[in-house]
Amino acid sequence: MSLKDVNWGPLLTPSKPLSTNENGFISSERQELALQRLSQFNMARAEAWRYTSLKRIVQLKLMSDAQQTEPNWQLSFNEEAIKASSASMLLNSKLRIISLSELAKQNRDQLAEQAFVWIEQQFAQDETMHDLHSLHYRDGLVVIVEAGQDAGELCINMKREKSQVSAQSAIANTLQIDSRNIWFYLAEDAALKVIESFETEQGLQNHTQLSLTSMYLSKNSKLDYVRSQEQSRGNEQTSLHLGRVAATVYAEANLSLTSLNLGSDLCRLELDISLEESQARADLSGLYLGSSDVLLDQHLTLKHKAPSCRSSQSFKGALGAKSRGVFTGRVIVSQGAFDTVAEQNNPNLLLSESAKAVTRPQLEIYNDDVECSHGATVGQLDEDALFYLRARGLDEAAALRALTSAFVGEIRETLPKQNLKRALDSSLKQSLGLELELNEAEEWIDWELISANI
Amino acid sequence: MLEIKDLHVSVAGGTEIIKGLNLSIPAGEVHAIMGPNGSGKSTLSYVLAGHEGYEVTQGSITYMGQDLLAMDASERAQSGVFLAFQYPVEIPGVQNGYFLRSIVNAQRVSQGEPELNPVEFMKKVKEVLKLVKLEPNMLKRSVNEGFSGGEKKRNEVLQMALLAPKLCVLDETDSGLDIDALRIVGHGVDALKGPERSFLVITHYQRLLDHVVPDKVHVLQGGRIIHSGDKNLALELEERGYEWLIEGQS
Repeated sequence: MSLKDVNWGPLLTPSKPLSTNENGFISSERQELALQRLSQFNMARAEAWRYTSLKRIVQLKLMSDAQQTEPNWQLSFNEEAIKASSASMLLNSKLRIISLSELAKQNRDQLAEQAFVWIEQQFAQDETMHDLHSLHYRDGLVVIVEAGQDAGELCINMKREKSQVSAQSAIANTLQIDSRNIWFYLAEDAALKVIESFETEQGLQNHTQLSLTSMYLSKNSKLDYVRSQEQSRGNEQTSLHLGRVAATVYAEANLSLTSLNLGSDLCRLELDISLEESQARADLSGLYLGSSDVLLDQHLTLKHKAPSCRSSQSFKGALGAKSRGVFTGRVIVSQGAFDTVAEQNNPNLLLSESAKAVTRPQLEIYNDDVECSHGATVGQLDEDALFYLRARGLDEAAALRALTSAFVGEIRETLPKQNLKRALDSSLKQSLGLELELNEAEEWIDWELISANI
Repeated sequence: MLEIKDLHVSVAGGTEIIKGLNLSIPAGEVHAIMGPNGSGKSTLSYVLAGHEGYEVTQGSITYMGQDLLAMDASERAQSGVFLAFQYPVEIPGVQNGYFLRSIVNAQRVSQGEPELNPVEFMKKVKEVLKLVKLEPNMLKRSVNEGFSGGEKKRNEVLQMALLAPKLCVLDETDSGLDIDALRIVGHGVDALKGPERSFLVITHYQRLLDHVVPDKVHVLQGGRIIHSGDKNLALELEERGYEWLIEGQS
């Protein structure tokens, strides 16, 4: 089958046909294979994509490659901005940031070679999102942390501004597609904090974010990863986010992941975490906020492959208007994975009668020595708590605000940056009409300190 | 202060629980309500606070000359009705200090007064913390979450002291307290007594009434007050139980 023979949706028309071949990374063969697989969409994929219609996605018209522009990339390392020109390769004693094309070309030392082989393996997977990425491949970013180093904090923001696509936005139903792939490779005993964010300017429509984030945590390494996604919404499902976060966690390594899903017309987020060796640990949490008629589809797969691994998942949905939230939480505990502890929690708060939450815990356990718990709820605010607040003189609206704020507050507290908290606050206000009760100023109150000074 | 006349209350759409209750509490008085389980004591407290799960089918409640039943829960609270809950609700994620300041400010705004800023509020709350022997760090915790039984009840008295209500309804505030906690709570409530403030103390036991001495004691049974007396009635009930009164009824 050649590329020309396939009459599939426009999303499956490679946006840079074969040109990426030049950097020696995504080959034409890989693109053809992706096409083949995507056109032979099988049942397993159909089940995984039950709530997000791939068919719908592939029918959307994309801008021709010539019209595509690059979004703004902002990188900062330990609070210091990294200039775009130096982003292709930044080296210090602790970490390197290098473009995937550079990595493919250069003479690689042992660590770089390991990272490169891993990335190649990832792209070789029979996996829908990798296939989509192969077709819409843009140069990736590789972050390597040296063994034994605590590299600090890296912020990666991708922002799409209206002016960047103003000429093209007039073309109805034509999607700007921003594709990015990022690879974190942590050597043994390494540590890194990452904040990855996606934003679009208000009012931007016809926009797709296609994102791939992959992590390799070598023995006893530690990665704190926060992901924040927000897109300006259009009228007819024209802002799409298709994201995948995959992590492979080796012995005694520790992954902490927080996901904020603050809005798109359609958001599909896949999390695929694999605990490969004993005593690996993953703590995953997330919040998704739904408004108008958006669909937020979280699809999580967590594999316990080795003994004595720990995992926790806490994903919360707050859904207003006619929005729909889906959480599929699949936990697979393999035969040899004794002494497994896996917790899963998915409370959903429905803030309107038309909002809908689907929660699908799926536990597949193939041995006895396992402690798995899962809890999923779909409901309104706690009536007793509402009455308690009202019986203290808060009016109903204030009581509702306080409780909704409390529902999202738990995850808000864990956010490492003020700007993330602000993004969440403004999203709450816009999406759900909620002024968060705990505003920024309130957080500054240190009751004990005030108390001591009076 | 409070005038309840021929009150009939049902669980919304269901069984009648209060069946013709009359009660009058003048300003400055402490009235205790005792009675066996299921007699309607907690229902009465919820009805006074404005819980929508109960339906008043007959009768009236007049509070400070106003029709209490025409007001919703928050309006009642703002106008000075306070219910100390038997089971204070845990509200994870709402910081206690923030919550306390919100309720104080909600009340102030309803009375046309300016809101207190955190420092002004702290000045106010600091004294009250001492009264109920709570540490300022409890302001940082979530409302009632992980509080011991004693801390929860002391937090109720703390709120009562902050809001300075006119009518205080204490629903089994002594339940689940050890002797020390009971003394602290009893002392806290006693300190709030005043000529303009009335108390309705619902309890099973005499012990709280040692600290908060009632002007009158009523026995609630089958949704009605079947007997009233002075503080000595509580002592007598402690000794003899309710049987003799109930038998006298039937």
